Amino acid sequence: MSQKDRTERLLNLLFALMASSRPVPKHVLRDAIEAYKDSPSEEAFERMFERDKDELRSMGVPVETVEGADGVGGIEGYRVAADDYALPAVDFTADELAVLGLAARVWEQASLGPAAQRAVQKLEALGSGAVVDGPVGIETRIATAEPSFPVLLEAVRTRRSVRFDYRKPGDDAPEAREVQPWGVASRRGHWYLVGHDVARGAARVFRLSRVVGAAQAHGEPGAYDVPEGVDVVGMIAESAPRPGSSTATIRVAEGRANGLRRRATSVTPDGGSDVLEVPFSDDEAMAADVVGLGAAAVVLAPESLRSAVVRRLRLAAGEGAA
Amino acid sequence: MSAVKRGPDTAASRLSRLLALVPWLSAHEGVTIDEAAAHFGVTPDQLQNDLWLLICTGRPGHQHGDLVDIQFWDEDGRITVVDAQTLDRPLRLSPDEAASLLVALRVLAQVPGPHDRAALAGATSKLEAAAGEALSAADGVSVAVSTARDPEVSAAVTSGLAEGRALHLTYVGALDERTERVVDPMRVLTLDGRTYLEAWCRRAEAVRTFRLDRIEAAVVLEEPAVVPDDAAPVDLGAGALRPEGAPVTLALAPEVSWIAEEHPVESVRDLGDGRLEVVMPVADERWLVRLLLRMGPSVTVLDRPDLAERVQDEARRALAGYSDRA
Repeated sequence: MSQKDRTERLLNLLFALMASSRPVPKHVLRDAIEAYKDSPSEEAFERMFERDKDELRSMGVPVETVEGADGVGGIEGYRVAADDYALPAVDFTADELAVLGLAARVWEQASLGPAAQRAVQKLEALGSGAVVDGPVGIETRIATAEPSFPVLLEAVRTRRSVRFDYRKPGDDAPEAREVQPWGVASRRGHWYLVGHDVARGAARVFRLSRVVGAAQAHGEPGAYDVPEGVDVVGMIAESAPRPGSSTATIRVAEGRANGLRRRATSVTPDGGSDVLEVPFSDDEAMAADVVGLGAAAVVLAPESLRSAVVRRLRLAAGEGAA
Repeated sequence: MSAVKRGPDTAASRLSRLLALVPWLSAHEGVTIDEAAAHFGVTPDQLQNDLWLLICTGRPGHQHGDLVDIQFWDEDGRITVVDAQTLDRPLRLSPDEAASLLVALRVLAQVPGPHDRAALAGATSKLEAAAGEALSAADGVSVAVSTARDPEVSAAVTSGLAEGRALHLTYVGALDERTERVVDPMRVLTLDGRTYLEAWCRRAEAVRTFRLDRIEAAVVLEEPAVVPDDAAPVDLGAGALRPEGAPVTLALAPEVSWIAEEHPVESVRDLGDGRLEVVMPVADERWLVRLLLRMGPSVTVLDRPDLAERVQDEARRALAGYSDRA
């Protein structure tokens, strides 16, 4: 089947579904549309029709399935209501159209790029004006390299479980997970899935780059509810290591250790260098940060952090473990 | 929207274009085939094919009066929609379409820049209203980008760009050095979740990108920004902001395999013993020395023994700071 024939068939199906306010039975559609009439068997027609119906729905066409009044669960037919079909009239100002032009470029080369392009075509077909290339002086790009992205987006919207293999850093092998997705979010350039981990019976945050292969939708749509007021971005931020309750006293060279300076609660000049008070939670993680600064930072207290730093430095200096 | 890259013309993408084409033509009475083709980013031949396809479709029966009627055979190449049938209005937005624009607008609201805030808010609320049920798809996707820590830095960057004036920056780069420089702002860029000021740096006499969260202070100067004509903006298509420099080969123990996720790498290979071999471009070796010190034995340099020596030297110098009590 050529692309032209399929496009024509889909278009004729759409016209047939919009032609009447009454639901159209399937056998009527088969008789009305040439490509269906020509299909070699009832089965071939059914397959073709199901595929076409799904295709129209995925484009946003509200194809309604109307159940029969006979009470035995049969389907009377299908229809597309004109009011549900049409994009409501929106009147954008010239400045708003320029901002939309800027927005349409954000997903360039990402999985939502073609969707943004189609959205712009539709908005322009309303006739209020052309979406122009937006203001100069700003460009924003969002990348979606993860193969699971479209699957998860759809699963979040339709409330459908997903299954995937997940490999945490340091794990030898990936682990199978089943998750009810609550939201997909990007923070600092990384994509995450937040949802209810079915086997663990608790909320979890997953980094999409650690999903092995692509996630698969599983089970029926509408299978769960997303808890009221869930803050997906907040949950991701909380899953990252946070500054803790201990305080390190660190002497740093002037103008250096600017990362530590940003985290410091106080900076006291002391004869050509500065003494910082920096909150932290884990000796080893903090020691790694200090050691990375080399001779520019010396821990004064606490002793546990000081010895963790000295041990790491001796190892790095080739003096063996202390 | 010719700037947007177009995918292959599948049945779905072509149908989507046809459904937008009819109302667009109705709203642009007398437009030419060439103009319509340019607008939809297709060739004039493809657009004619689209029109031929449209006029062969319509309500079942396909009797006179059931078919779409578009006239486009006059010599002047002008198109007139006589009967659009039920396609006189564009199809509503699909969930993906609504999400693509709304999430993008919400990101634009987070970043400083010369874009019109009132127009941004207006476009967002109108689009939310028009999206209907598709709005839920946009709410399922959140994007948080990091930007300036200090609102005064955001404000200075915005007015530098909007008013075309030079900026004085206090900047801490990846090498932990605080520098003062005067720059001529070009653009605000948001890439990989971080926001940058792209500017002509008068000190480096080159285009530089400055992470907004590392700009400690920004002051708008009286003098106008003057960007040299040959200053080449960052190419956003080609792996933007990848460090340029000789590649170094590292072995990463499992506990630090995240390094390959955090930094641009040229290749990653499983060494079979749980470790990863990564080839990473390094713009400044001082940065790599710091990384190696931080990570200790979890990271091994495979192809540069001189770098391993530099790490040892730096560690010995640092140990001297502890000699009073060691």
